[in-house]
Amino acid sequence: MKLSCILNFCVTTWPHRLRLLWYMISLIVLLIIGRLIFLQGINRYFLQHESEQRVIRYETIFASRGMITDRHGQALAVSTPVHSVWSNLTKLYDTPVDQIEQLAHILKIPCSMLLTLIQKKKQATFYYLKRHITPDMMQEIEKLNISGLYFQREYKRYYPSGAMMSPVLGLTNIDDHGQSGLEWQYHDQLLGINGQNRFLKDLHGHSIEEPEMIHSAIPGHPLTLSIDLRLQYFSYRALAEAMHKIQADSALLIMMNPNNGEILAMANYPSFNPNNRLDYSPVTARNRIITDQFEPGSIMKLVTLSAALLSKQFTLDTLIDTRPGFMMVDGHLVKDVSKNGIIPMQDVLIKSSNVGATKIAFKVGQNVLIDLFNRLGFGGPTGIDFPGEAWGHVPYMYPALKNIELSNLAYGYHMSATPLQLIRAFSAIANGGFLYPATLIKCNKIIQGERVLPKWIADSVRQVAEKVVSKGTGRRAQIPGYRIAGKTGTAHQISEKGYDKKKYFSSFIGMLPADNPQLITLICFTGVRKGTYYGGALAGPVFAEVMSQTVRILGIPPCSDL
Amino acid sequence: MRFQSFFIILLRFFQKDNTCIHSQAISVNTPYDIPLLCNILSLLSLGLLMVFSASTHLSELQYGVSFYYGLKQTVSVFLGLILLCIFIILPLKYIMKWHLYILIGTLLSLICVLLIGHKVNGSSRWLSLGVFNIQPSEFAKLGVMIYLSAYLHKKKETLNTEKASFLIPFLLLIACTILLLLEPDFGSTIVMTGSVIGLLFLVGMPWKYFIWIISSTVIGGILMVLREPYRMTRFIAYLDPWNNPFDSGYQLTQALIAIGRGSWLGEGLGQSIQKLSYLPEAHTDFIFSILAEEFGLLGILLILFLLLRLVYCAFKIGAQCSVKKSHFAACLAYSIALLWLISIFMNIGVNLGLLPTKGLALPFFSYGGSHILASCCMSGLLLRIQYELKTTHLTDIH
Repeated sequence: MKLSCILNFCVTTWPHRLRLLWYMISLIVLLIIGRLIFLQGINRYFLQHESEQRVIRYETIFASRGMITDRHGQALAVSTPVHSVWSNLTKLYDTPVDQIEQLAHILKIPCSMLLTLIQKKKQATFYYLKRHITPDMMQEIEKLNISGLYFQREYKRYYPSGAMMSPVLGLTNIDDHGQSGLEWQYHDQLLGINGQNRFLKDLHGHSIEEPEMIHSAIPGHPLTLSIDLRLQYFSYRALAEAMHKIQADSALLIMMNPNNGEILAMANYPSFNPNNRLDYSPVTARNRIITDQFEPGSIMKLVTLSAALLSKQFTLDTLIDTRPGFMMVDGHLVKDVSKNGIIPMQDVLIKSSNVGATKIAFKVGQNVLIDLFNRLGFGGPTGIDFPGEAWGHVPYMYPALKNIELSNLAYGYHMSATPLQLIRAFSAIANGGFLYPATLIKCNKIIQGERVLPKWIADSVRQVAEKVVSKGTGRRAQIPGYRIAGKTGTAHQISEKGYDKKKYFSSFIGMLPADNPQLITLICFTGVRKGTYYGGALAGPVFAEVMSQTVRILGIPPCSDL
Repeated sequence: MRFQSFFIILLRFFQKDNTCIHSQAISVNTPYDIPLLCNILSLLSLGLLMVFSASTHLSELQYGVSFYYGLKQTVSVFLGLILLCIFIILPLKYIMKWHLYILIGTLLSLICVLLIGHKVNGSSRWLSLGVFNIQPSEFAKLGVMIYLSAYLHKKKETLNTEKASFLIPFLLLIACTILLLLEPDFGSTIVMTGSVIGLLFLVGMPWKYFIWIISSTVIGGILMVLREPYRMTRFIAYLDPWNNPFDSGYQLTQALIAIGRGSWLGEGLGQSIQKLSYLPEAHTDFIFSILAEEFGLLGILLILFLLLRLVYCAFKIGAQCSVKKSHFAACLAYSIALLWLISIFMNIGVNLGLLPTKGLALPFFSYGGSHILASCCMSGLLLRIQYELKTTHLTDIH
């Protein structure tokens, strides 16, 4: 009754119809309050989620890619911050033409092109106008004060070492992703983790408050190469100078520490400037040392000699009859450059006698020879982490080879190898019989090599190789004051119609110092067509030039007893 | 009984407030209803504050300054306060005396706006008066109601016997409706129609007429919706706004998001995100959503209370007048209450997605000079009626 008293006081004194109306109003008010409770209480999670979808935006903070350095920390590839300009073309569509003209002028894009782009893609809300602009350009664009233009901070890869390292390092694409070379191989390590900013935006995309960092950008890990930039520089320069004098497809140099497989220099010439994409061509971008395979030629007599000693059928002084300077095998002519007569076996290497090598191979047999090839890593991976590595080719043990094939195998034909495989195999002769995986990455720990040759064989072969330089075909590689072991090689290269009589693969492998080699260097000229083509005459002087600088830089003392 | 208790709780709330302050010494000394005045003034100031809050972003975009709309609204509110004072001082008998001129003025202004009106968003609702733009439909609603109140006052004896006495109001209503729809101003049309019907209902129009009118207006409304394609799309969008949230349902979904963001206690004054160009008309027709976003359910209930208390006061004053047999004052008070009430319900209904979207201002809150001035006039009239109720001036009209 009390409640009805209050009701009485409130509206019962009101006229009948007004009271009715008031009840209706109360119902509507209850409906409104109910709806409010529904929207603000029950349904708010959905509504707030919808709001977040419209309001919250995430912004990427690009992480810088890891730096690549040489073994002493010299920068080889660095990421520098740059800006890209992108546009909301819907907004740019309303910009006056004279401003667009100015913008096109700054961006160095033809104005008509920009205008047609805006016409055509006026629905696009994200369009890169230009990637990687200079800071000056950015300032000028900011001065124009055009709405709908935005800048994105990114990183651009820059290679301070320029062309001398480019085939090894490879390239990144515009989005900072590795595309070739070490940039591709070590992409996961070099890649940073992009950070993220969260911000609230109004309808026009302006940030409402200070962006909140969800997680910061983590830069990629640096990569330290085994390359010594100083040696690389001299190597590349020497190749460039040599290539000016001759007509050849390319010149390759690889320098390795034979005691752990670290590559100290790896030069390709011709190369390209990685900082200028116009200079890029697939031919020069290839790291031929790893991706190209050749028939190595006489340089392989080092292996033949090792096989001879391994078979115990020969000693260094076993006499071999090379008369009359040629022989017929399966109807093919095997010929020496000069008539050598009856010579001790070591002279087969020193004089580079094909007839002598053939006779050794016939006596040793294909199994011992091919087995040694395989053990030295020919026809297989070198353990280097590099994209597109070639494995070369070594004949199978079975079926039996024809005589001419076995003969060819003895002086470096009928098989193929990459320059990297060659230097790795000959490292075993340099270091007393151990095979190490080749690497471009600086080793911080001691690596246990795999023994592939007895020490006495490696040492003996090296002694003979020293004589190649001191009095044989490799005389032009001599450096005063240093004992050098080496071997020259000259091979016909294959073109479309079999062996090309006028296209040579000329090489020289050298180890220094000969008694305990610290360095092993292979220099190859491919596609040599004119003039001097003998490995000794072509690659020897380059070896002498590069190595005389190298011993100075690395401080390798000259031999005292010479 | 249980159903009634809902109303009782609701009403007790009103009654308590009313009696508590009312019984204080203030009203003993003065015949003016000070709590009512405070109610009006607090609504005006809250509304001004909300216009400042909701319009800053738009103002910056359009004019480069933050308070363009806010300061314009401040000027309107000051003008409105002057009008309010004038209407408090002006005795009701003069209004009663001038009711025909008021009607003629109203109709003339509505015709003028059609001829020389100034177009915004495809409808010509504004008359340019140099510095100010006037929206005559806002005043027309009041003008028509003043005339109608005077008419019903004159006819009060014969109202229930002479059936033709209901004809004049309907002819007037139809004329105004046509004029308003030509602008077009659908919102004002509904408010005016609703208020006229409501007033006739309150003065005792027979039920059968009433049913007749309701059904015909509903049919008329449906026809109107079907005729104009933009109203049809609005109607469909209202039924399921989330079906097409980026086109036809955009405004409503943004309004609902604003309300949802507000939650129980709101984001805080000035913290609304939806007003940052997301919600179109955030400072005018959809200011309620921004209000909900910034103050939450709690704030909305407070504002709803203030608005409804005003309407309740107007009804109460009307009821007291009708007891005192002052028919004109009663009708006028009812008219004012109905005009406000329907505007409030329509606007909130639209904001909450309970009604299809149409342009209608929320009294005291939306940006716009004319409706603030009209509301101030109505407030002034209400206070005057109350004053004359307390003193004996009302008898002058008889």
